[in-house]
Amino acid sequence: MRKLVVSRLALAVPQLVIVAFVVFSMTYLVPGSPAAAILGASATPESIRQVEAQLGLDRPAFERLIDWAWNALNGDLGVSFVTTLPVTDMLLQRMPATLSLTVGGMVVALALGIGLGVLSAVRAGLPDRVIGAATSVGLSIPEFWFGMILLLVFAVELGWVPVVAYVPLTDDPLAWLRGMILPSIALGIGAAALIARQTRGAMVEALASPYVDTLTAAGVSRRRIVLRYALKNAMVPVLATTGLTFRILIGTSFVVEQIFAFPGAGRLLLTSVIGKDFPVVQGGVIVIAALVIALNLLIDVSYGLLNPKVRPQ
Amino acid sequence: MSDLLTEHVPAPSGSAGSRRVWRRLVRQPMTMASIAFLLLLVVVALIAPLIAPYDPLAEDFDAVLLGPTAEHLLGTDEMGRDTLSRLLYGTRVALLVAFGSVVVAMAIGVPLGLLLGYRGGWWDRLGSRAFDVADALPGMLVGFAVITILGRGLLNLIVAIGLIFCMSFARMTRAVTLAERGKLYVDAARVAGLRTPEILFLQVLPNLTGPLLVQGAVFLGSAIGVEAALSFLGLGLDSEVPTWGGMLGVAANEQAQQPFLPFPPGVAIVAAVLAFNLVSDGIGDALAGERRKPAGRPRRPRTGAAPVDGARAAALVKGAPGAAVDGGPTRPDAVLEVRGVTVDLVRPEGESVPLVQDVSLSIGRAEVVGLLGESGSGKSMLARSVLGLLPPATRLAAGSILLEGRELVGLSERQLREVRGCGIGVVFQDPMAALSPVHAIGSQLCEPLRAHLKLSRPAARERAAELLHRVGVEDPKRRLDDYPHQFSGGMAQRVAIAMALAAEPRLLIADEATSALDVTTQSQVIDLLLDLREEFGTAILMITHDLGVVAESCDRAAVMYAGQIVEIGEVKPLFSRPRHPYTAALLAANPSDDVEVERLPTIPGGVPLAGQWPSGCHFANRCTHSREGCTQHHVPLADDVRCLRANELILEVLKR
Amino acid sequence: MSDPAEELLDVRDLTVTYEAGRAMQWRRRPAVAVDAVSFDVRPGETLGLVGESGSGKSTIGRAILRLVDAASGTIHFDGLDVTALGHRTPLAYRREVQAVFQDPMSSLNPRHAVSQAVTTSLRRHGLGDRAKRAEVAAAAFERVGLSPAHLDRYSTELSGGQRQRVAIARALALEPRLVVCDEAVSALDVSTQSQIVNLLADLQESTGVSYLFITHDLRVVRHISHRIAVLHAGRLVELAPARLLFESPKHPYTRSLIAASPTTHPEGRERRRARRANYEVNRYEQSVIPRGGAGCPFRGRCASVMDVCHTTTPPVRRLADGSQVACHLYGTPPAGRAG
Repeated sequence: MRKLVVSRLALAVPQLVIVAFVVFSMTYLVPGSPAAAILGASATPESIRQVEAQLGLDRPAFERLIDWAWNALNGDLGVSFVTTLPVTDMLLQRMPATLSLTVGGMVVALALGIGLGVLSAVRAGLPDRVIGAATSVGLSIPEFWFGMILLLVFAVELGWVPVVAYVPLTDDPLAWLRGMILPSIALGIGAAALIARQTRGAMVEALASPYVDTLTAAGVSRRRIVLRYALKNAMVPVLATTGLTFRILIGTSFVVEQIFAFPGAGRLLLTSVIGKDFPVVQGGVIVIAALVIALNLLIDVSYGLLNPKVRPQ
Repeated sequence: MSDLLTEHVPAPSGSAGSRRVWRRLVRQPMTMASIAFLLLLVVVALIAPLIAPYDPLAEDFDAVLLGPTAEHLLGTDEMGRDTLSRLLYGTRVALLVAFGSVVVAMAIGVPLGLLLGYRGGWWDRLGSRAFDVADALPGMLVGFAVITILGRGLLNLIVAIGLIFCMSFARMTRAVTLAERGKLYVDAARVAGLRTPEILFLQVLPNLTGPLLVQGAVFLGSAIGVEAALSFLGLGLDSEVPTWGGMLGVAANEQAQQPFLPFPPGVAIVAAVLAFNLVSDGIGDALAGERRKPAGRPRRPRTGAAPVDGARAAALVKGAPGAAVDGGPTRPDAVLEVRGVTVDLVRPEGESVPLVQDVSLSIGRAEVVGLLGESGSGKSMLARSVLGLLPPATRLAAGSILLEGRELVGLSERQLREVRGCGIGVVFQDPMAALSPVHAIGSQLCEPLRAHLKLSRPAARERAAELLHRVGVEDPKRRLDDYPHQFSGGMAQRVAIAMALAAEPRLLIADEATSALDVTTQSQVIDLLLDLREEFGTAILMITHDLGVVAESCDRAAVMYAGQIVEIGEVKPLFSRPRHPYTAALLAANPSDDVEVERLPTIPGGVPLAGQWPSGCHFANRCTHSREGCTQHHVPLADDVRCLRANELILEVLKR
Repeated sequence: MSDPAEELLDVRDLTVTYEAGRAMQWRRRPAVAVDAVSFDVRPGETLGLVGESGSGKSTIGRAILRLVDAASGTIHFDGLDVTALGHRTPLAYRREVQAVFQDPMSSLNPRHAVSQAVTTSLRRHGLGDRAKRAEVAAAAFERVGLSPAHLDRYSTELSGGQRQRVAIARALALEPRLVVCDEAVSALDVSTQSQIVNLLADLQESTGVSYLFITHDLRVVRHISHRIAVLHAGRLVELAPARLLFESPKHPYTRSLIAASPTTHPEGRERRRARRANYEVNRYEQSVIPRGGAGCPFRGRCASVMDVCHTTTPPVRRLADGSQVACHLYGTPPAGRAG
């Protein structure tokens, strides 16, 4: 098992390095200097050069990359062009909300998806058809629109939950949880439908496989076969795509957080992108990439626990 | 399961021919409705100026944020622009972006995936690393980046979404190409001397069109969703331009004043995306032949119209043509007594086709009985009917199955569970597939021990290790924690045998249990089964297509052809003096390793598929001895042979 | 060795390795699939290549078809060293060496009408115009016992035997001199199998084509082959004329293989069962020796094992009766020669 973790880590590090490199070079593709963007209409060639020198943009690119990477390793992601605040602090402020939302969406997606998928696979006929139709619709709903509707119904009309929802976990866990319900459902609905479909397919396949016949023929109860044997087999392909789902959820959370007025990283990244605030963009992307890579690592390891074939001998 | 049926029924024509796929597609009402809806959207986009009641840009500050009224059917926005008109115009951007971005994504992703999948090696490893890097970046972030670099605008939006999607296309194309590349037709194309581009584009690509269409339709829908999200965030087109996402952006801001605002664009998006998804599902189903249905819960053999109890089953048998002669007298010492079993395949149209017809067979204590037949003979169906494990869409239409005198037909699932494993054990053909790949073999081996013998967990493990040792697995205690893939085929089959015999059943059914094994392994497994028979007194039903396996292991054997037993008897006379022309022809056609002949005698034609059996004698159309009468009447099994001319024919057997 | 001019195919010390290890790893260890195998095929001859799964028999066929590369050794076809060819394979070689694979379902493109299997090859080799190619395809179909009605079918619409006939038509339409038949009849039912075996024999008689007939089925290989080569763990253990091999098997592995092969006469099966146990001391597969090292690969299972078997790989020796055997039972090994 340790071998598996080490080999996956060995892959993750260059992955992060390449992402950093790609993100850094991206800033060269953007037309127009950030100095111009900061100065706005009053910019003159003279003042632009001055600001560029201030920001260190006149130094060779490679040098800047090495500097930036070294500082990033030490937890310093630089200073925002616009606010002149440390990027690390700005991100640290925003990430809890993004993480809360994404993890909440993931929990909804997995619980709802696996539950409905299994139910759909073992209950042919009406339940299967109803769940099938529900997943088709679930796959087609834009999450942020679903969030708007949920908010309209449960917060505005029924008043069951507050409209402005986010309370930091450290302030009041219960309020945090209450505030998480609607956003998590909104974010997780599409992924839940996706996982439900995968689970159903994998379960149907698992239940039709010869080992189910063997166990049935050995006198094992259907219930035990479904829950202990078929489910574990079916989880292998489902787990394999969970990393992808998580990545999609982070992206979607940037949109959903707008609806629920979550102070997440999405708004910060959006304004930085538009304002050409490169240190914030670079820092944000690298942090999110690191997050995704870490989670993929975690999933790979649990995949190894689930599927003995990928464990190194 | 479905494999089991395919050998009986005409090929479901699989993925052959796009015309066939199209015909299946046309028969799906949901898909056709979705296609019609999407065509309607295209028309709306084209003629939007003609049908829109207002100019979508016309502002009217006297009528802002209206709900639905007679003048503004879907209300107005914060500038007093007509929602319906903007919605109709919004169709243009939605469809342009959807199709444009998917074209971009495919143009980049498909050739890349083809190259990586076909070339393999370094190309592939490098490409896979690139996929990994892309994996670390959420698509939305890529969208942000591309639009920052390129600026806003329709074309840039298309490029951005195309870039988000292209990795998915590349990945999928690579995976399918990799799978196709392993297929023999690619090898055959290389052997024919075809060049790599010819193989890629003329041989492999046609097999990719299905999966690409399925995924393409999904992404057409997704593109609409992503476009809406980007426009909603203000990264799409100018807010003037009517787009569904932009309308939602306005709606989010003005929701407090006019709660109706999010509905028209939202419903439009859901409907369009849903239509694309349904088309995708429809194409997928049409390509697969039919949607894979869940196996359903109860798997007990569904008998005729009403549950058949033992007495009624016997009556049914009496009523069946020729049945009175077929069964012969009941053997009092029989472990298994199968009488007049008929298994039907029920077609979706309700028509039923027999797969097994009126089969009677008995197995005595510690007796090894062979059930010999080519594919399509119904031999495995018969075995499954004994276990109550018939696949979906088949049913036990008639017959009685007695295990040590106890009627199994009509038993509840719970009662059957007691019989399975404890009364009857089974070993299937493919030992690797017959064991769950993600469970240690110890836990699987313990299942019957705990279910039937009610052993505690440690006691079950102890016994499982003993069983493993008995079937010839070395170091059994340690190997209990191993997984199936850590065993060779022969060893895995030994584990499967241990599992089948764990609860010491009276009868063991070996369903092609040695067919997938190598010659020396096969003989070892046969020898093991015979040893176990002697040790435990277990009766064995040996189902096989291999004459050699029957000759080496069985006391008696039944030969099946097209759903019927054509001959049954002691093995030695069966092989030296076959009485049915089919048995004789099969023996002759089988090359022998100790007799040399110039040409192998053959049987013309092939085994007829279920539903296409000739009337009268099923073998008549391939039989060199058939005459007029053979095809006219049902031929009963008389004196253990199902042949009208059994008594007059002297069938030639090669001298050894 | 025999006169090279006589041989159509001459394989010398062929070794094939493949990359072991999973796709995740950058570097992979090479594993030996075929280890210094030599044999030849004469014009108009059928050479049977028997062995169990993992014996390397299919890999040899694939190396001859240039679907895998040889790590060392040579393959001469009609005097041309095939292993010395570069990345590209000359069309002439592709035309003269054809293949029939095991699974006819997978060896035909499911998206193409089956006649395209024939016409595509013809087009690639520049044989005839469109009309001519269709004519040749129809003739080829007729020759393998298919009717013109089958030409426009898809492979899924044909039976297993019919699909294999299409594969044979494809191979023979180019008028090759050697056809590699890789388990070509193994997936078929007995009654279909005999039809295909006869068809192959008839075609050999009328065209003089040679077959390399790769199979695990001893009964079929005896019937169809002139000579038979037995492979075990990537090495050639015995090569002899078909009748001789069965009547007087030399290598303990060959004997055990023949004893294990079920026959169709039940008399004397108890005797055979007892005899089987005597050929091999250890019948469990875990005792298979890892490949590549010195010593006989069969020593772990062999009942006649000697000290020398553990240290020295037995060379292939030609015996007086014309068979070739790689076993220390037949002659003492020259000192110091290993592996």
